[in-house]
Amino acid sequence: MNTIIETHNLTKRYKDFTAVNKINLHIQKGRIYGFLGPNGAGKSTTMKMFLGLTAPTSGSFSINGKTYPKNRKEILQETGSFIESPAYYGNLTGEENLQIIQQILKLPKSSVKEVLELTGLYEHRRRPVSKYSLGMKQRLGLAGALMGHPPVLILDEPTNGLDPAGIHEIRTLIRSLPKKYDCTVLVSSHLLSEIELMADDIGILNHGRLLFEGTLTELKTHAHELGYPSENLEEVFLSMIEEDNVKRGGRI
Amino acid sequence: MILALEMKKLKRTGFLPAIFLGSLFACTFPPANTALRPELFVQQKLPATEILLNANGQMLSMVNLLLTVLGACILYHAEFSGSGIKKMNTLPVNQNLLFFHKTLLLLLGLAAAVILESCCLGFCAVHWFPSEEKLLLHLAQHTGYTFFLLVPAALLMMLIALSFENMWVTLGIGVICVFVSTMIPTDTSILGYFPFVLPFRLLFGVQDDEALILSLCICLAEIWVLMFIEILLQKLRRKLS
Repeated sequence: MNTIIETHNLTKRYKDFTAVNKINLHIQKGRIYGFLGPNGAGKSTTMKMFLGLTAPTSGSFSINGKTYPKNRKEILQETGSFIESPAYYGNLTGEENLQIIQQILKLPKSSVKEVLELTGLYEHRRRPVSKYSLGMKQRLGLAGALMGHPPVLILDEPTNGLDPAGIHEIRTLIRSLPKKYDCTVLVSSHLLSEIELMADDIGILNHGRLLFEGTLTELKTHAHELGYPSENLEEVFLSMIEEDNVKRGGRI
Repeated sequence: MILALEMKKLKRTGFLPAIFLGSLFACTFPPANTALRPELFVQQKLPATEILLNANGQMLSMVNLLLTVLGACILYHAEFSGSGIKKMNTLPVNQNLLFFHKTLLLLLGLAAAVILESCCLGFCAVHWFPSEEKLLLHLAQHTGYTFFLLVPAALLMMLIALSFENMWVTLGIGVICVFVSTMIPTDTSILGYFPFVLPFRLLFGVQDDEALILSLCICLAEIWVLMFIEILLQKLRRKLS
């Protein structure tokens, strides 16, 4: 298999707190990789490191053959991202916000209309973003990430704040991306049910450590071997986290 | 391209009306001051620009500094209020270039304000001192000098605005700096060269050419130092985040 994102002992430490602890990820090209873990597990920190928003304390990573910090600009050119909450200019309209991204990435003007239609924001394109609902802002963030069909998409909890219909819509959209645009998606969530419906591969993170990496089928097999209740993946996930917390000395 | 992008980001922020109305407000002082007590000014045996600046220069400098504070607050409030700056950080664009283009926009706004104020001084000079020679030369010298001395204050204010996400903190620091600066005499050895005090040094108040060159050199040095600090600050931010 062709690995597009690879990390080698990637670590991020803040004084005496280790947010990400020597993780080795292998994300395959053209697949959806679900990054799963409870709040504070280090998912967002890892994603931020991929985008150069925070520097790794040690270890390294490569995205599409490019390494940080040497090729930071090239990595950003080829990576669409949506990190934490939606980031936008409230005084500008949805269309103007996307035009800024379009101009920075030197994309054709038609790319703005394309992503507006794709995320269902076309009819709201002339409204100032400050007047958008949270769900619409979330879609705008996703539209910004999809501009120019980047080969790598990094989405941090993209369904946060959406209603069930919106969640379903975004999930279907993300699911369709690898086929439609030949891209790789790294999507994070703290809900296994969410990841289960979207991802081909998953990585489970707890307290900065990677507990598992593989396909959902491999997770079931792995859980069966370790004696976890393998029927329900949610239970497997929770048991893995609980056991890791116990190993760490009861810290939750 | 980046300048055009930065201008686009300013839509509906009120930046241009604020600078324009602020400079119009400043422009009301010289005619009002001279019209109310013309006998006090027309009898003086000094160049018209010098008389007008002696009477209104401090006020104009203070308004220009307040416009600097206001402009920097608006420019960065647009970035921080919706976290637009976070999106910019994930795009292949140099953060230092964004800062310098924002500063350039602020400086363009301030240049327009200074020119408008000079036009107003010119109007007063023509109206109350019709026999004045070298008026255009004096006004041009004053405009260039005033604008150049505003640059360090603009850079410092933009650095403050970049450092604090909460606009009220930036505004508070800016206003305190302006008012403290009004209390510092411009001939004080070190404090007199603080970026917010420099604009209070009026061209015709400078004793000799040596003092003038010293002011300009210190101003230039401050510009370089503040630009260097900005580059360091951006690096430090990424390292600490």
